[in-house]
Amino acid sequence: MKILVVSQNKGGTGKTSTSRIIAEFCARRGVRTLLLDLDPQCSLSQRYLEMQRDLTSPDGILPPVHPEYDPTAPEDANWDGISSSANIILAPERLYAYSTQIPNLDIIPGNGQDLRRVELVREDDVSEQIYRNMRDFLRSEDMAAEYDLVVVDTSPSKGPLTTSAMRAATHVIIPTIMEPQGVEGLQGMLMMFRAENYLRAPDDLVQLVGILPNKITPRLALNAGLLESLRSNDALRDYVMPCHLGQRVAFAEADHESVRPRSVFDWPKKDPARLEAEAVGQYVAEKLGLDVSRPPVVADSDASEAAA
Amino acid sequence: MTAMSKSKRFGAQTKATATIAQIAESTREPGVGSEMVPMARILRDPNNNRHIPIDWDNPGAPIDDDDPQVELKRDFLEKLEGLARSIASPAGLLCPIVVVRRGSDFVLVAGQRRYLAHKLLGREKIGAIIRHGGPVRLAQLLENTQREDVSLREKLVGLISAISEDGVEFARPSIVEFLKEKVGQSKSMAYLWASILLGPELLRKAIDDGLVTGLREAGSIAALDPSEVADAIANIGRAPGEGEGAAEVSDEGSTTLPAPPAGSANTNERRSRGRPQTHVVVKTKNSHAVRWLAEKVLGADAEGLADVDLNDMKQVQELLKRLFEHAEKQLNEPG
Repeated sequence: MKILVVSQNKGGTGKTSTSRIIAEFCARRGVRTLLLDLDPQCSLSQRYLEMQRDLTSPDGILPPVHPEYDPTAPEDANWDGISSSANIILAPERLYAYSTQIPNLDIIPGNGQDLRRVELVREDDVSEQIYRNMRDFLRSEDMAAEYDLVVVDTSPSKGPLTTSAMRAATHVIIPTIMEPQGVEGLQGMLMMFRAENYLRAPDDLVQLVGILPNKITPRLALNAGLLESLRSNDALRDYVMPCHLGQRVAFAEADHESVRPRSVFDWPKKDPARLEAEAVGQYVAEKLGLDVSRPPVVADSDASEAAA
Repeated sequence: MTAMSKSKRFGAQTKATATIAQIAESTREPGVGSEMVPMARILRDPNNNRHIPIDWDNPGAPIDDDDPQVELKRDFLEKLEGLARSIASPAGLLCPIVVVRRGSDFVLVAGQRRYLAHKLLGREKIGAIIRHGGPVRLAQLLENTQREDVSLREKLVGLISAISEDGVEFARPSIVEFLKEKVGQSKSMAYLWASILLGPELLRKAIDDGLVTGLREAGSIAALDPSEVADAIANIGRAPGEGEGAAEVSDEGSTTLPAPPAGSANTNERRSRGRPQTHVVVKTKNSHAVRWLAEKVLGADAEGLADVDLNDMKQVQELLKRLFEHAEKQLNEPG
């Protein structure tokens, strides 16, 4: 099983969109995939699940009640029915994935309030416990039996949650915008990657899938110039992915609840956004050694809507 | 400004890209240099031969006045606090500790005091060199043998562990070779340690009990005939457990030292060096006195006595040796 962490401490570089593209691309081709949302903003979770609107919670939203939750069952007596990624740390015994409308794709959503609680931990011993729990969970035999790929979406920080994901990761991808602040964010990310590998056994090193140039407008001198500066650097050439995602409103539009089909992979085959997403998915799958040769399947909800 | 010149400008290397390139280059060879390792991931090595008298988990814990080792503990803690102050100074930790990976944790190979000083300071991370395998006991031995406050017993334990780890044949030439080449000891020091290691079991037991605490002391006992060892140890006059660094509990007749590797044995090949059972060393410059003594001890008509040339000091020396050997023989005769 591969554990791909999508991480960049600079915000707004497209971590959630990248996670989504890679997970959907692989899942549609038969790779049993789990999305893990570690970002307290829970944007990824909202793409796949009908979140509970609850104005009594600090964020106004909560993950939905798990379909298997039975309030009358004795074993569920002390449980509120919500499973979230924070449970990995806070209540590992209450950790269940939710199915999505896309075949082979499950998600463990984020719960903003709980994730922030974990993220605020500063004591070294507690942080270590968080790292251990995350690694134990993601590297467990149960997970390996259930999934071929876990894609972890992280928050733009280097706090305990991101570090814990890094500790468990087999692969890392760093989406980056080609602007000075985006490139500067790479310094911190690569240092984190480097430090993690120093602490790893030689046969268990984290592999860097690559730096994914995101939100690229080729005709912008700043975008093109910075990308060129990275690709022409001998030390960085191998790290920068050969494909990129463009600055396309289509990616943002796909998030709007009125837009159908909701997945970029259901758009017309020649659509430039779909082509870019497929190129990224293909590249990452190959780097991870995943078999994506099977023909892609259409998402359930879109198929039923099309039939209707 | 044209778009062309702009894109060229943005395509040039910046400070950030230069830093990223440096990071990327140094990432290619993990395991070189030192890293900040979380203290919580560092485990104590139970087999480190160095004894730490204070509480490992809470080094700053107050030491009870009734504690039998109160002075030793207070002295250790005082020095540790001094080290902690130097680490807390702007100079910081000058020399990283050495750890070796065990699963997702690290076992402390060298730097127990530096580690404890970090604990005293409440630090969360410590600079460490992470080793991937390699001889752990040897590294500990190298660090500990150079120390003044490591007892003979602790050094001996470390040496036996390092020899076992390296798979050195338990025979004088290979041990000496190991100590010279890998531990960096001088030839005379290497022979001294080898003689202690290969010496009688009784000696190692005495070191373990704290009866023998000095290296030279142990070396001279190792050189004795096996029949004389027990007396020599008794003559030192220490009680078991009295010597610094003695094992805390030692059953009668057994030793808490790790067993030497097989093949050795306490059966010890006959020592090539060491004092023979009878060995007379006397010197003289007075040939007439020797002649007079010889007549008294050997008898005036003793064989060859008349042939000794009193002007040849070599012959006089031989005669003197002969008469002492004769006298010794007479004295040892029963009755």
